[in-house]
Amino acid sequence: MSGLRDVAVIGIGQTTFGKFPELSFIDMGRQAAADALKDAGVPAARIETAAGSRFYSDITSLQSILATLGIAGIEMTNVENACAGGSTAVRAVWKDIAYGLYDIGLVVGVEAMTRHLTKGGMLTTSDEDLDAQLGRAVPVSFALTARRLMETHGATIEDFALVSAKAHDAGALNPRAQYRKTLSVEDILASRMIADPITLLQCCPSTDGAAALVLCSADVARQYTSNPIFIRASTVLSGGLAHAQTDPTTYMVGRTAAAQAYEQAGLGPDALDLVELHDAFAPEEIIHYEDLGLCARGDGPALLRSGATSLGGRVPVNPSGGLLSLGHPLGASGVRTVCEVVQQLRGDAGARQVEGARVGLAQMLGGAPSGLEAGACGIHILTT
Amino acid sequence: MKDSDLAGAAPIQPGLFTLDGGRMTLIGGRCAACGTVFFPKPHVCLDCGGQEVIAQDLGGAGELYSFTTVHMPSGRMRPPFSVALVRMADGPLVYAPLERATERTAIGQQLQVAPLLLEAETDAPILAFQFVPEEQS
Repeated sequence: MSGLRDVAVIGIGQTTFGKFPELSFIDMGRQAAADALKDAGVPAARIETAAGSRFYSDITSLQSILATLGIAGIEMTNVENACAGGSTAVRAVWKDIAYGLYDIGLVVGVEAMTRHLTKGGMLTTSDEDLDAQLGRAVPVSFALTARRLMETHGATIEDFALVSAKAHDAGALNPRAQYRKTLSVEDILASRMIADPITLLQCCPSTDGAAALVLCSADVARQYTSNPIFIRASTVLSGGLAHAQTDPTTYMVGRTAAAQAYEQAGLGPDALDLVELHDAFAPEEIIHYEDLGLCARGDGPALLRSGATSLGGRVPVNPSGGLLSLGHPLGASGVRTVCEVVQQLRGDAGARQVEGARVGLAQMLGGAPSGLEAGACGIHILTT
Repeated sequence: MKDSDLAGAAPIQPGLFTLDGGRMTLIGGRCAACGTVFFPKPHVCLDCGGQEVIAQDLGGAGELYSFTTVHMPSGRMRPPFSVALVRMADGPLVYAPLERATERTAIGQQLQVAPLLLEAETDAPILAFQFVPEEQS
């Protein structure tokens, strides 16, 4: 990535995740953005560019949020890329700064799911989508994939429940998590069946929440902090075409995005101290281990069972509690995962701190429309 | 299901299948240049970009690749319902409803495509497709 400027994260903000029907998306977006500005020590008037992510979007959501902080008259972009929308917004501001258009910018991801009409239902692509009409909600796709993991990887339903139990172990330590309690493999398997083998507690909840970041050039970062965290890689790619996907237990886009990110960062998966990834449905975490190169193809279940991806393991995955325990406000999660990595690299993650963390990766996968293996995959790698 | 029920139904999407005396056949597309077969038929070849994609009869036979039984309403389907990924003889992997999975349902099982009537907002039902075990077809 020669010729591009280094981009730092100097401010993070995240609301508590949960069910907050009394709060609007503006309320939550404002809180996260204000917290990120305060954390950075940057006045609102300093912001030059902004990107916002919201799945259930109204017209110009970001402008409505930032107007409440007196931020207006600058370039603002609203993005939707399913669960990777937040990653896409981070990348939009990263590009603005890396390519020298602006020196400092704000990213806001937000979702008020409780207030949305589809509360309690399963996420689908659109009313017109053929597969969606025939029942292919997102968890249904992951259930079909989970069955293949059982067929080709020797994965078991206990493995899928273990992914969720691991997430809840970490989330119980996170004061901003939606669940904040541990759940056993038995609890998870005993919960209501959604799409076999996926039970309710292998699914992320509907969540209200927001997250925000202040990004800037390295020069600006030095004015505000002695400990900036740097974005070493930023990539967002569309999912591959479905007809070319020979095996649903691996994503072409997952492997390609990871390869691009490692090349940009000049490091490999062995260098990672922690990973935040898309665990909206427990079985997919095993696929992402392999696509990110945390283990060899086929070894995902063994990596999980070894404890390497638990807190205290070689490379903790989702120390925040992940989407399963922390919650998944759709448009916010891609921003929130970067917040978590920054907090970990600062050493500020409290009871869930990954000791000595210096390199972290934040990944999001979004959407499952007809004709594509996935809608989008976004990856950011950050270092101290 | 009577043929008269099927006759009044509106296809869920044009060009996905043909129905002849209750026997259903899926219609895909084959690239005239590179030969790649798709379902549904795309406007252009998604592999080589070829502009000519010819309608290809995919028949009705396929092999079960994966399946699940769903316990939540989704799209036009009402729970509980089963769905599958099915490998057609010509190659494409097709997503479709599966006649309710049982303990005997297994990956590798031979299936046959069959009509499926779905409730619609209008008076006329919607005609879609599903897979059923081969011996029942």
